[in-house]
Amino acid sequence: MSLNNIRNTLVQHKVFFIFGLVIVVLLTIVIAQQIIRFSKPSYTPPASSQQPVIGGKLDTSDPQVQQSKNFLDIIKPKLPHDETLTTSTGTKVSYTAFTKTPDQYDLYVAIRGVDFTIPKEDPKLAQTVRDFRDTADSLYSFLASNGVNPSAIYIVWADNLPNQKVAESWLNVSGEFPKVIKQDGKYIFEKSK
Amino acid sequence: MALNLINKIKNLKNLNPELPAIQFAQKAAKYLSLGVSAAFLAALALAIKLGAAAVKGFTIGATIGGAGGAALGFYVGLQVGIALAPYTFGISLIVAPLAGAVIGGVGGAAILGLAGTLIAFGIASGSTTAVSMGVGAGIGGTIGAYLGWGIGTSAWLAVVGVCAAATGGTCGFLLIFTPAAGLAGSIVFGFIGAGIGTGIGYVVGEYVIDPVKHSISGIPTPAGSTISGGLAGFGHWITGLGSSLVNGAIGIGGSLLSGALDIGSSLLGHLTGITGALAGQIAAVAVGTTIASAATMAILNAGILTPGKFATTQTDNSQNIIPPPGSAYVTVTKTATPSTLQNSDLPKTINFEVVVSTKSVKIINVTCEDLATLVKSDGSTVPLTITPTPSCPSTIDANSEVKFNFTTRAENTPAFQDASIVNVFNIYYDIEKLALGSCATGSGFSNLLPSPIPPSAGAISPDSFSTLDSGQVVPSAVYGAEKSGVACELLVGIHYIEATWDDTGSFIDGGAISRYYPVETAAMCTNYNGTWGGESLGCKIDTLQDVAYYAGNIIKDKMAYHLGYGWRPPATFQEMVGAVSKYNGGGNHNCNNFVSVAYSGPCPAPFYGDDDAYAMTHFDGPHQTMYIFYCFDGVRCDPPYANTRDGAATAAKEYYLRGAGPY
Repeated sequence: MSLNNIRNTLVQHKVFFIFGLVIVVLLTIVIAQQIIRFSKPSYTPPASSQQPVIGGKLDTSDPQVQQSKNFLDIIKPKLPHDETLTTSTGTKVSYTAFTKTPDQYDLYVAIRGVDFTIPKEDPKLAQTVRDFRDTADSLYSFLASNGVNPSAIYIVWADNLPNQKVAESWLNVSGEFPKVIKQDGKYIFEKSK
Repeated sequence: MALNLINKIKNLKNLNPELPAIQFAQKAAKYLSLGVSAAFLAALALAIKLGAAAVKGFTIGATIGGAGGAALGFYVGLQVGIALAPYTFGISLIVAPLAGAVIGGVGGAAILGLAGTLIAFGIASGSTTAVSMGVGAGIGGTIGAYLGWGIGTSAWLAVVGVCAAATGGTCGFLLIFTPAAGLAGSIVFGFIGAGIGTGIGYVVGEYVIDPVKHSISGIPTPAGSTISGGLAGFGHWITGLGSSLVNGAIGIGGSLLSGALDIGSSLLGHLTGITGALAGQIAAVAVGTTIASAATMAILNAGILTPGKFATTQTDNSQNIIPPPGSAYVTVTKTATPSTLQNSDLPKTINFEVVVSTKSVKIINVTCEDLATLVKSDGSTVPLTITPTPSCPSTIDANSEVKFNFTTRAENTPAFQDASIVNVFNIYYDIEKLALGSCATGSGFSNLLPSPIPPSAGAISPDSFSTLDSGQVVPSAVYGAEKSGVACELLVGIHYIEATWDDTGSFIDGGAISRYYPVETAAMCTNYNGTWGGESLGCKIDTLQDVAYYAGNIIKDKMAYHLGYGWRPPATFQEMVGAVSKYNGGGNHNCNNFVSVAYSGPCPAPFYGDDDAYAMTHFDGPHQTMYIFYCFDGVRCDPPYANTRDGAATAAKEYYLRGAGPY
């Protein structure tokens, strides 16, 4: 076997070798990306309407309260944060995340396009709940991408306590507000199995 | 220049039979460079897509991996370069180490960059699975690179051996490239290892850590939870662990304390009784026109340590204060030095420092007193002398601070052995009513009015100025404005339409002041000096000034939640009118409501709220006649009726003009 033949053989093998390497790397990254994409996080922020109190005042020594403050300190330089999104139902929603001085423990979100006062019998309730959950997911992505764990901070979704309680009840899939699905062109709550 | 060097090497193949191998090495290096570059860019793209935290992680990982890989690559390249130097006139001494450093560096950066990306993303988002994948990528990549070196060199030696056997030793020259083959093996198997490690990390994170953490914390796994379940759950796991540790600490502390309290409980009983009696005196004295604040300092001399010793415990005053009405205007703090004493320390002078801080209003007719009492070990009491007697100024300006220092003496007599000293500081005062129009000074309200200011048409709020003058609406609005940043005239205007400047009515709806309000959180309630009653009740706010603060924040809420301006005070006339309209619910707009009315203003409204009777009635000629459509929240008036009262913007303007002078 001449040196040229050997060279050609090796070059041929190297081409395959390099090609295989690139494929392996790209496949690894694509798989990781897909895993992350399909494993959409479902965060559970603590209920801000149930903050710990001592003597009627916020218990600022509570670990959960302090954790919320610490994460808020991280995100404060990025606030206020405005975002407009089109939800999975096609609704256009905009929101602003901000803090209210001197409150150091809560992240406030002003959502425009989601009506927390919608009656329970309104046929648009399921769609509204889904719009809200999509909006919350958008906020969570913003927080997570900036090093803040959404499950560790108090988030206030509405400008008064009754609406805040409604928002907290909508936030996660529950028996009262199950997963929202589209059926015959309408958004409905999935019936529990 | 680099291209020239490469071309020179290419041209050398005609001069030496070994040079085709050098050409092959060049091509291999080129393809390897392309491969690692593609991998690096892909990992970087993934990091960018996952956000800022992931990019930071990528940067850290890539720096570490890049530095390590570059060092290894440089070393390998140098070996090859030296070996090739005789055939390349020394050029390989430069090119080969550089090429090795670049290939090794970029490869290492890609592998550990990917690991750093996943780890940082996982930490930022709380995802155990992502962290686990990142750790897997890092470990797998490192192991793969290590094993790859051996595999690469062994494989290369085998190839050269076979070749040499087939050609009678001609290809022995290829042994020069053995380190390069090791480097190539490291990179290839590094990537393979990273891929396998990522997969293992996913399985571990998803199916091992996640179930374990849930079983530990007792938190149910949400249906369909994948990475996200891991994210939330990891945080819970840590929190749960922290709580256990804290609880453990509390348990130990509690045991120690209970032992102490067993001994000192009777003394604590005395203290409580005395404090209660003193608080009662203050309340009795405060009846009438005065408003009092009190701070109680208790020094317990209890035998809670070794018997025969004088053990002193200072009790913080705040636990024993019963806040009298109006204490929101003044804050009193007090410290004692020393705070602890032993019987063997007697005699000793105890120094007290009291700081009285006023808030947004000036206080007048101020008097102070300090009472110190010795509570002996048998429960009997003896008054103690305080020197000097605290002498208050008769007035204290708003936002000011006054300090008092005085002492009492603990003697070395049996009466002070194992005894307690209780000290109470009282301050009595009136609130100075603000001058008319005073809140207009520097408030910036003029910026919220049109220019020129149009005369009102049929305004009646000036008829109620006497009510305003005699009440606490203005000082409360001053406080609310100072705290919230919302113009105080605007708060005065809102109070007019809600309670006609009757200072027993709330800024929110004219109802009773002291009650529960739908404040969103306990944190915000604390800012209003309120008492959080839980999610079913909300926040109990007691004073008009704190309600004024709350009302100012509601105006800012309307700006943010309903008008999209951001959480800030109105800055223009249009913003103010819009926010005020929303403050009322926005239902009383006179253009295109559920029934047509004889409204003479412009329709459609030129800006939000301009046609709202709550905001604009009587503001100017076009707004002279406006109609109310909702008699109460959600209750329509049928038919709508003409509003006889001024709108909030009108009342605010009239109040402002009264202070600023006639137009």
